[in-house]
Amino acid sequence: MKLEDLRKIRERAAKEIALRQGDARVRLVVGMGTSGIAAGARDVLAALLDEIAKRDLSDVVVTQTGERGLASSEPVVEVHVKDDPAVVVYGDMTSEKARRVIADHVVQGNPVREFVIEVRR
Amino acid sequence: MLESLDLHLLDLVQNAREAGARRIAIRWTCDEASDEVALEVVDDGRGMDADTLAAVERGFYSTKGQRSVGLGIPLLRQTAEHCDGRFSISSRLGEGTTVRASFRRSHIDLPPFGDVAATFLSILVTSEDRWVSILYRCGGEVDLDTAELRETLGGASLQSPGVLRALQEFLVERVGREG
Repeated sequence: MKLEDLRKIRERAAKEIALRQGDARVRLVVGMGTSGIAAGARDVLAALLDEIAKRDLSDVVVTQTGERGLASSEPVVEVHVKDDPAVVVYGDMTSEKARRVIADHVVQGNPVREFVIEVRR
Repeated sequence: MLESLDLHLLDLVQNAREAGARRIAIRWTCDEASDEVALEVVDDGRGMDADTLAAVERGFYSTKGQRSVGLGIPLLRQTAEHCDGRFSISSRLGEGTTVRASFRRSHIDLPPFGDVAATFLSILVTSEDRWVSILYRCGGEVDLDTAELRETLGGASLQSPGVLRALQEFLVERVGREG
C-alpha cells in the first residue's frame, strides 16, 4: 500500500532535475510563527507552491521561518534573489497577493511596490 | 486565532523546528468507536526542563522572538479540553517533546479540519533535510515520510514542479480539500 503510493507519486513526477537549495535563483521565505499562521501564512505558502507547480518554476524554492518581529504585518514573505543583496519583504500577504508576487517579481523581475513593507540590504 | 485543526498542527510542527528537531513524527487519527480525533507531534528537539514547560503551558512564553506571545500551546489545550478531549505535553531536556491533543469528534465546537492536504504539503516540502513522517487516518489515509519520499524520487527536490504537482494531487486524493 505504502510503496504503491510512493510509486504513484514517482510516476506522476516523471523525471525531475534535482535542484539543491543553493542553486535556486529565487528563495522565498514565509514567516510561520503562531501569529503568522493565524494571519494566513499557510494559505500564502500553499499559493506560492501552487504557482511554482503550475508555472513549472524549477529555480525557485520556498522555505519557512519563525517570527520575524513584523507581527503587525503578517503574513510576511521575503524574496531573496541570487546575487542581489537587496531582500524585498512583503507584508499583509494573501494568497492572491502571493500569486502576483510570483507573476510580477519572481517571473518578470518587477517587485510589487504596493505590497512591500521593507527592503533589507 | 488558529481556526482549524490543521493550523494547530502546523504550529506544533513549527515549535518542533524551532526546538532544533531533526526528526518530527506527526499522527492525526480518528477513532469512530470512541468518537475521537487525536493529533500528536513527537520531536527530537532540545526539549524543555520542568520550569520552562510550566511556563509554556501557562502561555505568553516563547523562544521565538520578542513579538511572539507563545499562545499556540494554551490555545490548543483550551480547544481540546473544551471539546471533551485531552491535552498533554511531555518534554525532556536534550531528548525532545511530545504533544498530544484529542477532541470529541462530534462536539459542536470542534474546529474544522481545515485544508489538511495543503498543510501536509507545506510541512513535507519545507522539511529541508529533516526527517518528517505523517500518519493520517481519518477516512482517507496518508502514511509517508520524507526519507522514503526522497529515496523514491531519486534525489529530486520535493519542490521541483513535477513533484509538487504529484504530491498535491496525491494528498488531495487521499484527504480531500477543505474538511
